[in-house]
Amino acid sequence: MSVTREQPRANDVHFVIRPNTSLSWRGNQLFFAGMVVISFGIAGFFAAQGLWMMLPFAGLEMLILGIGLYRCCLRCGWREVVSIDGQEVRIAVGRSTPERACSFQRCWARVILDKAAINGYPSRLFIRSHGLQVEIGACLVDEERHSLAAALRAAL
Amino acid sequence: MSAVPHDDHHHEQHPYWIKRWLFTTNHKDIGTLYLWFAMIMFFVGGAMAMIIRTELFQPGLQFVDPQFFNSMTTLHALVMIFGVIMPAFTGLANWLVPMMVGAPDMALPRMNNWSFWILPFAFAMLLSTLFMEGGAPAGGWTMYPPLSLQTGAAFPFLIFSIHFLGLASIMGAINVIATILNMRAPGMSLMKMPLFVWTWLITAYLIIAVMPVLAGAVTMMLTDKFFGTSFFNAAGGGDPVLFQHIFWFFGHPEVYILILPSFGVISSIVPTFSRKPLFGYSSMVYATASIAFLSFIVWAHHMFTVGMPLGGLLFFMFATMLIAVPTGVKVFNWVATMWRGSLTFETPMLFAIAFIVLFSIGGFSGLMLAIVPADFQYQDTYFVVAHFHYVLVPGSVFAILAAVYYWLPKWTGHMYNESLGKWHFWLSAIFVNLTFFPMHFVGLAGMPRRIPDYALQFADYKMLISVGAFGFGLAQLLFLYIVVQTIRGGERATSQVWDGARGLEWTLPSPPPYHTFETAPVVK
Ligand code: HEM
Ligand SMILES: [Cu+2]
Repeated sequence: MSVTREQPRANDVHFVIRPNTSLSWRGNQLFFAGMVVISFGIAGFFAAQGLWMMLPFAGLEMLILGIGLYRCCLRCGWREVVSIDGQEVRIAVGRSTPERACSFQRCWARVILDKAAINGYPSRLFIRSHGLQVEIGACLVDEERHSLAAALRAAL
Repeated sequence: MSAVPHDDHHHEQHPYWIKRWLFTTNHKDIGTLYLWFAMIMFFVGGAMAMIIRTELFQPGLQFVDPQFFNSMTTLHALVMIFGVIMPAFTGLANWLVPMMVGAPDMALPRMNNWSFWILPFAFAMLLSTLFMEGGAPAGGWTMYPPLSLQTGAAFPFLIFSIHFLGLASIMGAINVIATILNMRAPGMSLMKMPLFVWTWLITAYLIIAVMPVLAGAVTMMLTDKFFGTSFFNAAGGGDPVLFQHIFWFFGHPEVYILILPSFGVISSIVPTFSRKPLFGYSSMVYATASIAFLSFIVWAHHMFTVGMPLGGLLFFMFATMLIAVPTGVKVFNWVATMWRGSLTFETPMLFAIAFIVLFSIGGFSGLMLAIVPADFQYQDTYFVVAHFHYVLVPGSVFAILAAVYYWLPKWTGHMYNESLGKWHFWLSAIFVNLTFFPMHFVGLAGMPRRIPDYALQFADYKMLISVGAFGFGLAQLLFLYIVVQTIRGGERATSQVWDGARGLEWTLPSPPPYHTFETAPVVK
């Protein structure tokens, strides 16, 4: 599961939500390096025959691949931590350290699960209080989001 | 990700029609766009085929002039390859890969949107050449110089549309790779992935490996024509045969780009309707990987007649024949999956079985073509046309049709009309053979390809072929009707849909309950 739940004290719960990460940062680097070797190997071989114009295209392609993998890795490192402690609901998001955080009063916070407006679209999950809301769990599949919503409701 | 607290005045989740489709980053929407695009181009490319078959109905020149005829063969191929089969597979990947690996969406949703919307522009550019001075490109989809350099005003548009098509495929492939590598659900190890995901992973890898070669090849042709270089110009010290080498270095892996995802589709469908797990899962994975590897070292079998050293001929002949081994493993596994299964023959299964049988015929004629002395006879005849149509039409196209019938209930929430589906299958299966089987005979008898006129001896077969082609074309209108009918209504599909179906996508509802935004809770 991409949601882990910790229960430090009887009434307090922490949820850590993270996207699927089936390949490590290192794994991505190795894969990228492999593709660079192959792509430039092929283009370099033809360049040696005089057909050098494949090189810029191979470079451009590896640039797109690199950016794509990098952005994908950045997103895979994303964490959302929902901590329900005492009278407070705290939501912190970020990579290795929290980048943004906010908190609600526990008794006013509500869990809202928006069904998709259009067939096939994902649902969305919010914690809302006093006209402010924060979306959580956008990186989950629908089923996980539903069970997270249920768990949050039970915990609040 | 809107993880910042914000006032929710413009909680926009209700995109209007145009906005929804133009800016969507949702993998299902993009999958739908790809599939509809492929469907439309199927009829565009099909219309071109009908023009070709009308001209070839009788010997002599009746309907179109030879230049336009050659434009039709050229554009038909480009449309079918880059506009139908590749986009259809990308559409299937968009719909299915995230569901199959348990990811919420594709890894790079914004790039996904771009890679789709580049396609209509590229094809608008390519098809606009029909109205240009000097006509549309007519030198064949393989664009060999020096012939293709005689293209008129259309030439740079041809090159740039190829660039855009390549760019779109690359971005699609990168998305698929990033999704499969990074976004699998915990527990979904590589060797547990459904074969459709595996075959697409390898396809995406092939796309990334060979597309720069194509881009470089066509660009060098552009500079040869306009900027005075001589890469392929013998008068300036270049070599036109070199173009053939790099074209086929791209081209042969490309034909596997056009078939590997169908192997994945067939490997999903056959177990479902045999009510047995797939026989030899891991050998399927290894066979796919070996095919992909071998596809890099067989390219010169397309150019046996250019005058290669004997060692080269032998190497490429044997390497090509080797491909039959992993392909045979696959066919064996599908048949072994059916062996003693409790088979039922719904439309997807019918198309899958026809795929296995007819694709094998294409494989066998490929083996015949791989024999160098035989190929000296067959090269550039209708025998080659028969070969690649057997692997591409009852091969790739049938696999796509099977996939659509198989997953349409999942996508739309409705069952298609089974008896119309069966009609569509039998009409397609009969006409496809009527069209392409006699091509073997006229080819062996010496009928050349890409020629609008022919000797009287071929007349009877050629007429039969044209009748088959018109029949096949009409049968596809029935398919369009069935799809539209299923989208608009029909018996409700369960989430499981087929009682033998396995895999993550069948645990999801078909489709999630419709719930309009108007009735959703309003934010105060
Ligand atoms: C056992 C597998 C296969 C073998 C041994 C094989 C062999 C060959 C050979 C030797 C040729 C060149 C014929 C000539 O030009 O004289 C050829 C052409 C061709 N093959 Fe295959 N092939 C196989 C599978 C496939 C598959 C799976 C596809 C596509 C889905 C495919 C698509 C094509 C196409 C499009 C051409 C013609 C290209 C052109 O000249 O425009 N082949 N094949
Ligand atoms: Cu080939």
